Amino acid sequence: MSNSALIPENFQRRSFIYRKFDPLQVTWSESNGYATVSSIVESKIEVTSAQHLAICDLSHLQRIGLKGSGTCKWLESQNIQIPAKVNNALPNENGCLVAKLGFNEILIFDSLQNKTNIPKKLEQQWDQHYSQGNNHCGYILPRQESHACFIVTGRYSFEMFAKLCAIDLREEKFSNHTIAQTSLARLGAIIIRNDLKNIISYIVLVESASAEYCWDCILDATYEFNGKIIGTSALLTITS
Amino acid sequence: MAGNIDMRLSKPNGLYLDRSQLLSFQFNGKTYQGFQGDTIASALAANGVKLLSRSFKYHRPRGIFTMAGRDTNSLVQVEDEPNVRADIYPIHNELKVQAQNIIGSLENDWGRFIELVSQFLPVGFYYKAFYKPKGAWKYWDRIIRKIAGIGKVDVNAKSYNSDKAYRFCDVVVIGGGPAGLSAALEAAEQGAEVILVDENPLLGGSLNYAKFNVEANKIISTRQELLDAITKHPSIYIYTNAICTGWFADNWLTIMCEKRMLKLRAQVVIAATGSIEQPVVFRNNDLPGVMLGSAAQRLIHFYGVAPGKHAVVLTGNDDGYGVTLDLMDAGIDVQTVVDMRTTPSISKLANAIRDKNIQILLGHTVYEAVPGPGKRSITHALIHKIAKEGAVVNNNQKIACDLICMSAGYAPAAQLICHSGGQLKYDETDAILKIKQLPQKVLSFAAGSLNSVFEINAVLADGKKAGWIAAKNLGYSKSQIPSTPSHIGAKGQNYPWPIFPHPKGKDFIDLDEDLQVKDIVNTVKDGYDDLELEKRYSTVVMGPSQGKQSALNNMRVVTKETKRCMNGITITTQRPPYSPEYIQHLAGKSFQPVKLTTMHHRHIELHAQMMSAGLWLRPAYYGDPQNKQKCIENESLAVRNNVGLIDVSTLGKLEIRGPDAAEFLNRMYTFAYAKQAMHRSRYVLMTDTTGAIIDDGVACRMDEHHFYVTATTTGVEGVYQNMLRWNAEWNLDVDITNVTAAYAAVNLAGPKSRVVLNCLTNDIELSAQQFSYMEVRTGHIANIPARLLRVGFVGELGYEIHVPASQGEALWDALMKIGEKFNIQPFGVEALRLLRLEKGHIIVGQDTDGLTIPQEANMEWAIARKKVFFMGKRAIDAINARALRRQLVGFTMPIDFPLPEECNLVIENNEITGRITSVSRSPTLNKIIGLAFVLPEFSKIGKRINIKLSNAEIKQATVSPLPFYDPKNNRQLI
Repeated sequence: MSNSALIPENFQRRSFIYRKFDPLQVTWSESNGYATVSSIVESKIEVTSAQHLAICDLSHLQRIGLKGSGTCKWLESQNIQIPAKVNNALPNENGCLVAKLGFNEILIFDSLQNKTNIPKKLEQQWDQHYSQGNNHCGYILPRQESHACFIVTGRYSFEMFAKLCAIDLREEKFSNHTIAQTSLARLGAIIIRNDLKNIISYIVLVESASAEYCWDCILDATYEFNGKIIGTSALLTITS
Repeated sequence: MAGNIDMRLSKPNGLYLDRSQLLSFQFNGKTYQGFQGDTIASALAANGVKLLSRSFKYHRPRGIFTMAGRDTNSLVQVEDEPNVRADIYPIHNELKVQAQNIIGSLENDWGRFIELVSQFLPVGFYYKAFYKPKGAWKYWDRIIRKIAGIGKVDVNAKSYNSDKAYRFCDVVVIGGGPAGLSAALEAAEQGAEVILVDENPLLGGSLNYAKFNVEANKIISTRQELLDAITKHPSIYIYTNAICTGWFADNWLTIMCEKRMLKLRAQVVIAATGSIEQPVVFRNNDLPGVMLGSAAQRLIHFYGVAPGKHAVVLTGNDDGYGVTLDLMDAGIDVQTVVDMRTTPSISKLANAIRDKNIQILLGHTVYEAVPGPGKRSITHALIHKIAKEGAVVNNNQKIACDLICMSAGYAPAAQLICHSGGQLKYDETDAILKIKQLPQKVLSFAAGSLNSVFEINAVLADGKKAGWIAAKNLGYSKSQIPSTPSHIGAKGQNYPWPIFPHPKGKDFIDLDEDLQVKDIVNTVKDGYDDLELEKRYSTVVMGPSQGKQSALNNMRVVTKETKRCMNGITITTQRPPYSPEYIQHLAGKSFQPVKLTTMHHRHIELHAQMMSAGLWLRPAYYGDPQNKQKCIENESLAVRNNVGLIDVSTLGKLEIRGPDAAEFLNRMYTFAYAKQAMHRSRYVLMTDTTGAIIDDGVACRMDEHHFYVTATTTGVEGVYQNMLRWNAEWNLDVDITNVTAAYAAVNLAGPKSRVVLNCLTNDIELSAQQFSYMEVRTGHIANIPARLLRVGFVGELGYEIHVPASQGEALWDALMKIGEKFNIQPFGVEALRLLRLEKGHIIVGQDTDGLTIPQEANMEWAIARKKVFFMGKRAIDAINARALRRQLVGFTMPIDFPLPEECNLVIENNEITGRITSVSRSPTLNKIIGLAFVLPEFSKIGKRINIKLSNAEIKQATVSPLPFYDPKNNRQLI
């Protein structure tokens, strides 16, 4: 629910870059215990920006990682479908997105609506399983905390990324749901192509401590192409 | 200087010009006009200005030579930018251009008198002079630097933003001439994604200016068809005004655009960079009015400027006849065509000249250009009959002219190919440098005149074939390989010996460095008979043009002088860049990652002075820098007497999980962990295989198979890599995860810390009995899930609180808010260092160096000697067998002594015996305290050591017991 009285500092959980929105007239909403940027300008305009070039903070997006022996098997036992190949992502029917970062390393995102709650449920299941002395279920990685999460959308995404990253992320070369674990502006980053309907989009994860630095670098790179900051409402409109 | 003469030609000449836009600019303070699209040199030439610059050594007058940005003659100063190439730099309104490397004015440069003493300045003179008597170089150095300098660096020059970007393609075609266009189109037609790069404003290359041995209309239509197809093709991306300056491993190429460096990765490279026209060597071949035939054609066709009024064309191939036709079409009076060949050409171009009744002198050469006043122009060409290779018969004809155009042949523009491992060799049959070998480790092809293919139909076919093969190699081509004609036009393209030394010299091989034929000959006589050595001694090909017009003729002279066979000889090593680059482009936009804790902005709001710790920013202290010492003292006293709060989020944090976790720690660290109790922490000390201390921290046992380990801020990356590497060898059942960024952390320390914390938790019992020193608890602080460690780095009752990073700021807010009533004081790294020093704790990296072993740092207590193995154990055991060479000790000095600095030396009998590693004035202990490495015999308590301060004063200090503060740990155990 959007509420103009919401401010990030009223929440215990805060986006790693929430202060970057101080100069903007932001409408905040609550999601996953965070104040999140719902919109900055009219949603219709933000949808247009998303088609052109836009960046949105998804630090609030529920996500969890698991790695170590037994990870994939245990996740499959929890009805999670795992991509066949490393560096690929697979949208599950339940709405979550499952990214395979290594042979035994998985990253799971909730849907953009943050509604499936699957990452949280998995963490609870895992705690229970582990506390019962079962070792072969991998180990939880606190991806919600260790990494900031942004999404870059629009047809100029590649042009923008080309100023920061040495990977060929063009639409025809980097297919949907492909993953690059690479360097972005000299920072370790995970880039996942995850189109929103017909809009080319990339989820970007960087170490949370460098979130402000990375956000600034991406924003700086977007200016050349008249890229905009958008809120989550536009993303939800696109995916609805 | 003329300047009021109109040399402008009417349309259709002037391909680059927009004649509707008249622009004004200044050259040496005088205003000139040109059109949009003009370069500085073309606009000046249009105004009749021939003199552009002075040469490097003799300050000889110089003018347009290549009109392609490939020579030194065109270097000028444009406002704050030196060494701008006037023949490719476009003019704009208000542009201010100055001649450079002059003493006085460009027209009457005082430096020209150096030429009068040129006989005393032979090649390599600077190696033979100026070094005697001793110290003389210091004197000459200043003078030579002043004379030799080109351009002025303006330290206040305006900067502009430039950046870098990556590009990718299947095929990159370097060069947008006929071969490049043809190659790009064919590769794209076959399905490849192509990037086409050309340094000129318009694609077309020689199609835009050269006369080929076919009907002119055919060239125009061919060019237009190619350009139409290329510009419309969806798979071809065109970069004009962009120059490829380097071709590196794995087909990684640098493309310099106006304000951006492109880092291009291509699967296949097609080099279609063409060839570079070569000059004829004769006396005064450097003066304004003497230029390459292609330079004259560029002036006419690109810029609509007549290069002169009365011309002599000196040629060794059929292209000279094409130049003649262009000059005549432009209304220039061509006096004579001097053809160095003895057999009449039967080409259509030559026939066209004969039809116009122009005098053609076969087997002749221009032997000297006769200079006008001040050598700022030429007035005549002295023409002699060629007797034999490089020699003439003295039967001179003197022909009045203000322009001599030279067409003696070409050298391949193969620099890029050589960057990536390709090689050239001289083919004596065709007197031409040919590609001996393309880069071997990558997919690459050459096409066009670079590939020794000159006949225009063959060039187009060669490009097409290269494009087809490139696409084929990528799995695209389906059709039949395109055929190429057998006649490629290489034969007769180069005149084999266009070098005519003159007894009076000034017959320049290298215009950049004013090197004449005799200079090259003398270099060989001085013993430098290898091309690479000769190049370095004479500096030939080492000037700004990098041998583009001199390498071939230089090679010819050296080979002849050393009596070697020309066939198969190669040129000197070619290195990037192919063309000048701006350092600003190379630097581009720099990325310097910064890490911030989630409490960072709270520190800023509290006026913290931030300091770097690796990539992190940490508060050094809070308050005014002018009261730094007072701020640090106050912060430390608050911790000692009340309660303080410090952000320790930057600490390294590692999760070690799995059945073998304890065994893994046992191997990685010096202490023992197998029997470590649950929910307790233990100090960890890591040594490398040589026994040197590399990191420390604490290990918290969260459960039987789970340790939460801290590491130093700057050491954690190394520790993590170390752990991964070793476990790859050990293969223990353990998972290692670096969770540094995932957890924010604070240290709440001081006598009142328990009281403060009690206000914020209801699920952790904080009493000394329930939560004793070195124990670990999990629970909630201010409703935030937290791990609590009772540690005592600062020597007071304290709690390290680790929480999820996203809630770090909320934790800080809660503690500061509840702490208000207890006068809580945030403290920074400086106070932390003082407090731990009072407690005698070392900081790894500050109190240790890359060689410090635990025994030296009094850390033997942290070594579990009964362990069979830990990293560094063997070395430590071996070192134990011998006496220590140094010892870390505590020392004290009276509070009113000047404060030593870290790294001040410990001196004994005028010998350095140690150094200070940490030192501070302790407000709590009212004395100066510190740690220092000393000789073992000076490590006993009470020993006096001499410390040499930064001002060289010697002060005595007393070796004191550690810790300085609360030796029985009463305060941290409560």
